Amino acid sequence: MASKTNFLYLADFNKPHMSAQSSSDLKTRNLWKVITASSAGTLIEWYDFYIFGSLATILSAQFFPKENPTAAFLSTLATFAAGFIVRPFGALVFGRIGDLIGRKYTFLLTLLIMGGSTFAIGLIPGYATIGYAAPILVLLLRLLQGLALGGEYGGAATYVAEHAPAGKKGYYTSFIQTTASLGLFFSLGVILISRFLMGVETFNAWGWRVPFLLSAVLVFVSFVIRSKMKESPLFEKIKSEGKVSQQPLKDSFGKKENLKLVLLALFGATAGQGVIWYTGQFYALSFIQKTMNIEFIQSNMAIAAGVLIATPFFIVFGAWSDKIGRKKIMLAGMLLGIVLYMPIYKQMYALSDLSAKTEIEGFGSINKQISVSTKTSTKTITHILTDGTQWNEIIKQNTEDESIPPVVTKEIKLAQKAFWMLVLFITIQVFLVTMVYGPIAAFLVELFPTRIRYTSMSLPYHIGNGVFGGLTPFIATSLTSLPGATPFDGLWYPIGVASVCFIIGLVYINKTHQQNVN
Amino acid sequence: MNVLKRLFGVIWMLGGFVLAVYMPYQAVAKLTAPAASAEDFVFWIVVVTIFIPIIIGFILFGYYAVKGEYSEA
Repeated sequence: MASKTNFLYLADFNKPHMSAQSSSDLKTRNLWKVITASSAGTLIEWYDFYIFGSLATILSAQFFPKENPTAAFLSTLATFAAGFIVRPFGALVFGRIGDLIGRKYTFLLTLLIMGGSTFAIGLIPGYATIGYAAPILVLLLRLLQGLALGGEYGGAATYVAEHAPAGKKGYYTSFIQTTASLGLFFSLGVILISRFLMGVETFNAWGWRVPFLLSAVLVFVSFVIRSKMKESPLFEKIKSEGKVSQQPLKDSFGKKENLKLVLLALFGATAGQGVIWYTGQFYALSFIQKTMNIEFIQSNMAIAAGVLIATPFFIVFGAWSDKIGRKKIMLAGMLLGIVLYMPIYKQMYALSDLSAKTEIEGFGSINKQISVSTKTSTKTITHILTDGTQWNEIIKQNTEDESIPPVVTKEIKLAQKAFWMLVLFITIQVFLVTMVYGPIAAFLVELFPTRIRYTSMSLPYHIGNGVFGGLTPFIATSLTSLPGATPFDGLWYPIGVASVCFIIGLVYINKTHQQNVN
Repeated sequence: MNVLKRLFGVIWMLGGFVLAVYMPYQAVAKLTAPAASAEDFVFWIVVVTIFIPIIIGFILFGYYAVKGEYSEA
């Protein structure tokens, strides 16, 4: 009897405890659903944005033939305008809608616009079929992609942060931060698999449309998942209290109290983050391919390996920032970039410096091919070096007019040890990316009040990431082409921007800039 | 620290003014060169169009810093 009483007592005692436990489990499960739905959609948007860039060569041939100056002009416009002008406008347009109507419906809209544009690009007939209509349509759809991307990130980060418990926002929003890198991976993976399954010729003829069309399926699945989610609880709360901003743009940028925070976010955080992000992934790839002359597959493999190894650190640094603060980690990442970029790039360059290597005499080969369709002969001279490096000297000559000077290019394939050293240097750079990028969503979310958060955080993010970061490869390359410049002079752009941003962040950002979101 | 914030503010403002003059000057120099291509044209128009408002924002940031808007009580 006594034992039965004890049992009942224990059961009663455990009842409220178990209920609280179940409630906590349910909240955690819901939170993971929120993170999955938000991250999957954002990843797909990045995938959609990157496949255009990854397939740029094929798209140029299909829609923007170089021999036609107008089409070439439209191609350049598509490249620059979508990335640098339209993204901040997307941030303004969709940020405003997100603060007026709600986060959920806004990022459902950006997802549909991005997916619809991507799918439509896959359906457009080529320039050979419909003439100028083809590049104009592609340009318009590319602009829509940029607009949608501008509205997506702020919505996803805000949505997750407004669901996450206090003290863990850095950890939970860091999953959103992994999507940009994973989206790049995913796009490269789909393209490589499609190319492998169809063969290069079929892929170049029509198979390139598959990664674009596939987007419709991905977006549909993501849309269904997202549409089942509820609105952000914090937005619902201010809506029920009638505290929603009626003029988010004016409240964000027309009032000094908030505008000064927007400027601080841009010049003290996102500009530096943008240049570190683009230097570590895109400028590194450009440097490896164009300056070091590493062959295509090996250079992409090095970047892919570096990104894969370092990606978990987005979450590590996001979670750590909950404990020691966002500022310390982001600024440490910038400072390390400022200090390490020059030595890292000099070491990378040394890996492919042929003047420091010795050739094995008699081990090379010569291969000559003549293409009737392109009217060129290609002579490839292969050199084998003592450390295992292999380099090809490729000489292309016009067979119809031999008075035209031949085009000589160099292609280097590193030995195993040198390749892994290269991967190490890339990994260090991506590691720095994870330091500056992992905590930044939580930092931006905490900087602004709920009623204008979507608008206020989206603009500095897309100017910092899209403009300061996105222009890194172009500005850095133009610096290296100045008279008397060394191959490393391009690094002065990210080092300069990161230095100014580091000083501003160090001096001006303080604890009062970390609000309690809940 | 508040004095440092104000002093740096002057530097940001001056830096902004220098950039606001230097960038359009560079753009004109590049675009009037005989070798300027359509790509150069689009690139510089985009860069100047988007960077001028950003530079104005940078000058404003410096101004706020000088005025003590970022100072701590």
